[in-house]
Amino acid sequence: MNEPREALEDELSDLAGLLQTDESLDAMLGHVADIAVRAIPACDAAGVTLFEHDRVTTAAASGPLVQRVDDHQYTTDEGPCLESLRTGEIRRSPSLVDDTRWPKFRGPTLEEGVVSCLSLPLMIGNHGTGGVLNLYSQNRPFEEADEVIGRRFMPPASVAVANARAYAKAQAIIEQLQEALQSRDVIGQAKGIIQARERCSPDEAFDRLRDLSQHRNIKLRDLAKAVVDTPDILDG
Amino acid sequence: MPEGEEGLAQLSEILVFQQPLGGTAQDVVDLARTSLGQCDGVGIQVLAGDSVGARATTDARSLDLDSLQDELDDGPCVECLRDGERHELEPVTSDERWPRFGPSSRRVGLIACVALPLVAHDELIGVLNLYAWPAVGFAGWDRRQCGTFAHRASNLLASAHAYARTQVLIARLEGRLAAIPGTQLGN
Repeated sequence: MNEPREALEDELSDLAGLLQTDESLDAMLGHVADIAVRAIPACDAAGVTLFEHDRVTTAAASGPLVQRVDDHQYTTDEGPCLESLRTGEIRRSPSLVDDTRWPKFRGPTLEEGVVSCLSLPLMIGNHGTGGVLNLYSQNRPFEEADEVIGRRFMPPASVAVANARAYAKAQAIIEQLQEALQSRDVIGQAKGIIQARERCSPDEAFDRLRDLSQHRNIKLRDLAKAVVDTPDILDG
Repeated sequence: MPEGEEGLAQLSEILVFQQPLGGTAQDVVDLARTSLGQCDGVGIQVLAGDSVGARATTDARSLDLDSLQDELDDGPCVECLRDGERHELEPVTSDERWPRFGPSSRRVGLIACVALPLVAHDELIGVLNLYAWPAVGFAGWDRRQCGTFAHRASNLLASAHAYARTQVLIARLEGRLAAIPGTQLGN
């Protein structure tokens, strides 16, 4: 049953604004892909490709077909997704059979049963195109009308991805800091033990800990934890 | 695209990580004033726990009207924050429902106002106050348009708030880490 397109556009706009704070970034991107499949008539499968740290990855997909077709683009270094990412423009192929633009990508993609594709660039933050919403069809061509709907999806989809990615990055920083803090706490405790036992300064205690870590080939944090658990190992 | 729809579309294009919560709140009131019909001024209060985490208004008169309701502890905004419901001050009935705010607001030229609850994840996160002081007649609010705007704004502000909380936590953790002597990052 076809859902009203306006309702789906509203859903995507809602998604752009509402961070699903209890969901992972991948799950959030998965929602964007699913909404695209439901809203764009010719679309059978959709995925979000992200460009980060000089690498392209399929961050979310509506099904396994997307990853396989995306991989054909990544391995051949050509195709609508990569071209959209490089140019910041929409790439649409109504008929891959008749399309000669990406000869290495076309063969394996046709073998997957994909007959038409549409790639929509996502402008993420102030960094230009940082991702692409890739749509694939196994039955019918993506027409001009599909592209018009897709074009309306680009701004809210871009914002949804950018907001979710910024939040995920902030969460990752928090986890790293918490881990570092736990590690530093343990190191601080170990230093205190060394200072007390060896009547030395904090810096000397840290030097002693670091020397032991190198000598015994144990990570500083692991050694510190061992010292806190069993201070006598300092005598060994 | 009609004005209201354009405002909604722009609301969905605000990046929550590029500015503090107050900046996002300011974007929301500015968009509300330009895109919602019959709206001459807008104020917003975004809650942070039991207190107000951010305020924004489009102009001095809206700021006065927001402040007046706070001072008098009376008016649609105050009531909306109490019960989480939409409240409307209409030109005729205002005095009876809000005996302190009604007459005072009329003296500064207010014709009508509506306080829209901002709700995200089933929680009241603030209030959006729309004010009207038209030179010619007041034709009433477009309830559906206002409701959709408030809904979308709620999601946006909840996200901006969630992101702001991560930044506060990051600053706190970095401070704690830096305070441990001799164990700064990189050691």
